[in-house]
Amino acid sequence: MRFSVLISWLSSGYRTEIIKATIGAMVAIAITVSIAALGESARTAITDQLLGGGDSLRVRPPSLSVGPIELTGSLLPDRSLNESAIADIGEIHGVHDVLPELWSRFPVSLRGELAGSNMVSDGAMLGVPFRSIEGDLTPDEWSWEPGDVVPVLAPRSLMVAYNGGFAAANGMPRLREQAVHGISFTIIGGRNSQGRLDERRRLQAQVVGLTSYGDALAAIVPIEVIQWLDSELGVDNPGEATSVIARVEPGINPEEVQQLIQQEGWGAEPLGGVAKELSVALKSVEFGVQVGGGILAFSALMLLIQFYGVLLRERNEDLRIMRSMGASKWSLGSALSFEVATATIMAVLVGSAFGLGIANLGADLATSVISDRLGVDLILSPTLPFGFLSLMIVAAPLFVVLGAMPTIRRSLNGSLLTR
Amino acid sequence: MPEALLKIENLSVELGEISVLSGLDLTVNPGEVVAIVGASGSGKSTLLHAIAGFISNYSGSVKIDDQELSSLSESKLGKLRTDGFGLMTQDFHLLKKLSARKNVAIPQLMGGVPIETALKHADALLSSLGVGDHLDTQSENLSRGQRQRVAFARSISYSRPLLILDEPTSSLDRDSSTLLLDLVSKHAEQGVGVVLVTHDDSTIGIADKVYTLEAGQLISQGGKS
Repeated sequence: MRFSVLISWLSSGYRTEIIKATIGAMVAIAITVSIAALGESARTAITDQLLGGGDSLRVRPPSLSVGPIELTGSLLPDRSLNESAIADIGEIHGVHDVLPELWSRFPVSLRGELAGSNMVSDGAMLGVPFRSIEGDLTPDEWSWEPGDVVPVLAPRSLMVAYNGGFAAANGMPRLREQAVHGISFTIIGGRNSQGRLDERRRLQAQVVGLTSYGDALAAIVPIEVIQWLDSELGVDNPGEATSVIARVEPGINPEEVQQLIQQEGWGAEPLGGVAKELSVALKSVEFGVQVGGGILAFSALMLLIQFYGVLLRERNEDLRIMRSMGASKWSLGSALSFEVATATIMAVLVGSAFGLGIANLGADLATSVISDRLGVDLILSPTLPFGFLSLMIVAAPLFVVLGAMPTIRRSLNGSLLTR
Repeated sequence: MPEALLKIENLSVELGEISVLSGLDLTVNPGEVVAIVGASGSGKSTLLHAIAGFISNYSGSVKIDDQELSSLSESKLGKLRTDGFGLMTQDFHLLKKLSARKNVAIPQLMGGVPIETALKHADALLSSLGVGDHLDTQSENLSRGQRQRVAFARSISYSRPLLILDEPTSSLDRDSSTLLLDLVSKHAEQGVGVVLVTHDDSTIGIADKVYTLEAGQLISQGGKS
């Protein structure tokens, strides 16, 4: 008897029950996935913020001013972050590596359309090499030559500020992370929004992602963009780093490294001041996701096993009849296992899709709960937890089939048509 | 002398303390219809279950197609049930959620017949037995008489050398019984050996040999031959 016909005919008349059992598991899996997706997005957001700061120091030439009076040139030695100086900073004990930064030293105006409204804003740009953002993008995405569209990483803190009050105050919609990707705008260097400067350069730009890099409230662009604008606009020492990020070696106290750098005559300030709080939040979220998700996933699968146990007992008579006509235990057992595994995979796939939908619907609520309870502003963008999903697709059918196996074996090993 | 399809020698079955069958002998040759009668509880069904390989705790020998059932592996026994004999039990044992035609098609499908052919043959058989209007009715929704005819159709749907029928006409009217017994006779004429367990005199009428099961043994009562 063909396997497909055997499966189809064996389940004939029980499909409603099978669908009900599958829907039950589907609901449980949807809840599990929604919690896992929310938790994972919170974890990612927190990790991202941690990595954006972490144990890093921003090193600048020393500066001194009293009110509006700039005293740097007269009271402090003139220091510039040329290649030799950067190499020296890299040699300081406890510094793991040094990444140059090039802030815009000319007026910058940004023009574009946001959520249906024309926006014009003064701003700042920060040029960084690929190594600084390599966790976010690929080298190709971060390359730029004159004439190319400038790839821009938007600061996450700006997004939080926009969603946190600006949008509501101006009657504009809240933005999700995905919605920011692809926004195009024009960067005008050398000219502010009042248009007082003669020299100006226009560049087309496109947002390629969000970042928490270095606590910077600026449009993060490839360092070559600022180097080019420096040259075009005749800035002093064009292309020379305005600051560097010194990443501290793991296990070394950042405060000690900060002191050593300052002793060398540089200004140094720690980044990621909220790292400690975020790390506590991260542990809470991870624990909640692991324990809650694990219990829910286990419960969902146990539920499916129980449903199938009842269903199989109802079909004992059919199995006995089939065996009495010569069907082997192997073929019947395989057909039942296939049926159970298929229903489980369906429950996992459809449940995961629903779970992701629920997670997205609940993202705003979760954002405000995390903000209230943990005091941390996070933008949650739930995505399908592929690791969890892959594990479920492989492990769940196996787990359910193994769980249902004693019942299947009891059904197949029962007496035949004797009364 | 043709080779026996079924050969039982010195068969004894005990259920607990009670001896149900005691040193029973029976031979069924190709084309032969053997009827077994007996009072309720005389062991008729136990004998059929021993022939079908449903019970294994017996002494003596039960051979179908010269194969000793107690020595067959699970898979060979399964193959014998598919290819060696057709069986109709007293309780019909239909797949209750499956339609009449699909129930009848199962033995053919297990024998490797393509599904379309099997269903077509099932439809023809059921129609010839007067159940043609209920081909797609779930068997649990059929009357007892209809279910009995479906069970009979299933037992003969796939060509096998031996047919075992337990009370095949118990719920049928005279016309339906006649129809069914004609089909049994036709199968016997084509060389199929038949074992009939029955109370019905009209059923006994088609038998070549008639036995009464009494005190665990078969006592010959004659027959056509």
